[in-house]
Order: sequence, then C-alpha cells, then structure tokens
Amino acid sequence: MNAITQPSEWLRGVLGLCVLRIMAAGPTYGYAIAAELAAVGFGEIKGGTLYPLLARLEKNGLVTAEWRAGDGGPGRKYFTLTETGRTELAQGLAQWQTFSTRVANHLRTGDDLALPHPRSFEKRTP
Amino acid sequence: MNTTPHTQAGSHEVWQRPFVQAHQKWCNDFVLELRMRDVPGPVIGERLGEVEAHCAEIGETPAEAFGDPTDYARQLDAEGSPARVSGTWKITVLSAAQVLALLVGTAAVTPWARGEQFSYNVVQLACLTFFVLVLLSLPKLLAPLLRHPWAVGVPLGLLMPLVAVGAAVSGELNLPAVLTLPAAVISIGLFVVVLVLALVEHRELTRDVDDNLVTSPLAPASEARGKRARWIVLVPSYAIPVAYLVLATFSWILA
Repeated sequence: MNAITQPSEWLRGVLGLCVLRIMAAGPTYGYAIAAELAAVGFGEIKGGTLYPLLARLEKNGLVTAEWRAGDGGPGRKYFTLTETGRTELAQGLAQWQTFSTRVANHLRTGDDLALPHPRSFEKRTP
Repeated sequence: MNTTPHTQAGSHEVWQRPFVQAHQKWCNDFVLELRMRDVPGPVIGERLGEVEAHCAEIGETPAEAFGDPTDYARQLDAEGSPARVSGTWKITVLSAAQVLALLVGTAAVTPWARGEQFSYNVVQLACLTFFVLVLLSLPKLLAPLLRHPWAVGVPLGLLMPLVAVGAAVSGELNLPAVLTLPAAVISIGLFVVVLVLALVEHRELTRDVDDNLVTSPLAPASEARGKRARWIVLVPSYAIPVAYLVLATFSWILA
C-alpha cells in the first residue's frame, strides 16, 4: 500500500465524493472506508485526512453517525448516508462526469499520440 | 445528525481509558487544543474515540495515524466542530472580578479597623490594573502557559510577586493618594459583591458541568473507578469568598 499522508491536489478535490460513493453501499466506519479507498488504488489515506472529512460530512448533514460495539475492539463509529448525502452524491457524480470528459477531451493528443508542438510566436515589427 | 454516544457504553471520562493512558502525551495535547477552542467535552471525547477505534483497527499509534495532535485538532475544529461552549471567557471575567474585589476589599479591612480612610497611590493603582489585565488574559495565556511552562509560566510567576511587592513598597513611600474610599463600605460591599459573583459562577459551572467533562462514547474497558465528584468543579467559585473571610479576619486581628 502506498503511503499518502497528504492527498494530491487531484485526490483532495474528489475524496469527499469517493467517500460518499463508498457509503452509498451501506453504513460503514472509518477504517473500512480507508481500506476500500486503498483497495481501489488511492493508496493509504491517513486518519488525519479521513476523519476531518467525515466530521465535515457529518456537520453538513450528509451522513449520520452511530457508535456500535466492535469485534473485539473498543467500538466502531458507523456512518450512514442521509437523503441529503445521496442527493449530494448524485449531483457530484454528474458534475464529475462532465468535468472528467472535458479534461479527457482537452488532453487527447490525436491519433498518433504525439504531443502538440509548442506554439510559436512570431515577432511583429511595427 | 446523530452524535449520541453509544447507549450501552454509559458515560465515563476518557482519562480512565487504557488507550488514553498509554498515549497520554498525544491525547493530552489533542484535548488541550480542542479545549482551548471551546469545543464541548463530549465532542472532544467523540473525536478521541474515533482516534482510539481507528488505531485499534490499524495497529498504529495516534502519532502515526493522525500526525501531530495539535495540528490534527486544529484541522478537525476547522472542518467539523459544532456550537462551542462559551463559558471560558465568562468564567474568567467572573473570577477576575472576584479576585479584584478580594484584593481591594481585604486591603480596606486594616484601615477600617484603625478608623482610617482607605486610599490608593498611583503605583498601587497601576499594579492593580496590571494584575486584573493578566487575569483577564488568562484564556489566551493558558495554552502558552501549559505548553511552555518554563518560557511563559516562570517569568509570569516571578512578575506577579514583584508587582505585589512594588505595590506594598509604594505604600510606605507616602506617595499622594489618587483614590480615597470609605474603608468599611468597601470591605463589606465588596464581600457582598464577591458572594454574588460566586453564586453566578456556581450557576455557570453547574450548567456547563456536562459540557466540561470529556466523556468517551466507547464501552468502558473495566468498571469505572468511581465518578469524579461533580462538586469538585464548584470549588473555584466558593474559594474566593472563603479566602476573603480568612484574609479579612487576619487583617482585622493584626491591624
């Protein structure tokens, strides 16, 4: 597992959306979310990054939280997506699709995959 | 939003938890930073519960999983803290007013016993003002005091007696009085003021007692070793009236 103590700028922008997506499958807890993010290739998301995000989602009413007894552990805080959270997820997914298509189109380099030539600026004489 | 603690867990303070005791320095710094930001005790306990639960799952220390406790607390507070407890400033102002009344009121007892006028010279007035300003700054000074006791606490601790000695010495210099007050009225009146302020502070502390306790949402590892007596938090409000009576009695006897 790659250690990512601070998410890259790319990940920072979509981490909340990815976490909401994981919660769409049902109530889950911090460690399980981190493990699932790692499993899909985001690397190791540290607790110091994940829990402030979860606190923000909870504060904004996108998720509810409930403590349950853990399996041999001290306990687990389960997060459940609210209706507001589901709406936010749906909107975020639609916006991400639009954005990622736009970026992909922009970055497409053509059939030969050659990088575009630098733009040449001709000096203009008065 | 459901942030209700685990119903089976019962309410117990985080300091009883083995995890907190095993990582005391990290947990202390974390709690201190959130306390300084007026985050309610149960919310702090909730955040500490998240740290403990996560560390138990992942097998890391809090420092490994969450980094620096102060930075993490700041980040958490910026992202998701609910309404704050507003008591810190209120209690400080009440306490500062009590201490001011104690200093002035008990100083008036000796001239009252001697049948003299009670007066302050300019140095004494300046020292008193400085003392009150330090008391009022305590909410801001508390964090640096606790984090850097040698760099901040010792100089401040040395400065206060110096100010007191300066005020006492100036009293012997026959400087002109800039403020003259009736000694008996001041002594009795300020004792009444101290009592009223103590009652107000008592009410504040009683109301906020649940918000002040850092309780854990996690199930206790063992039976709690007895709850901390709730009246302990009320001692500060009545310490000043008792000190007033003791000092006033000694001043009267020695006058």
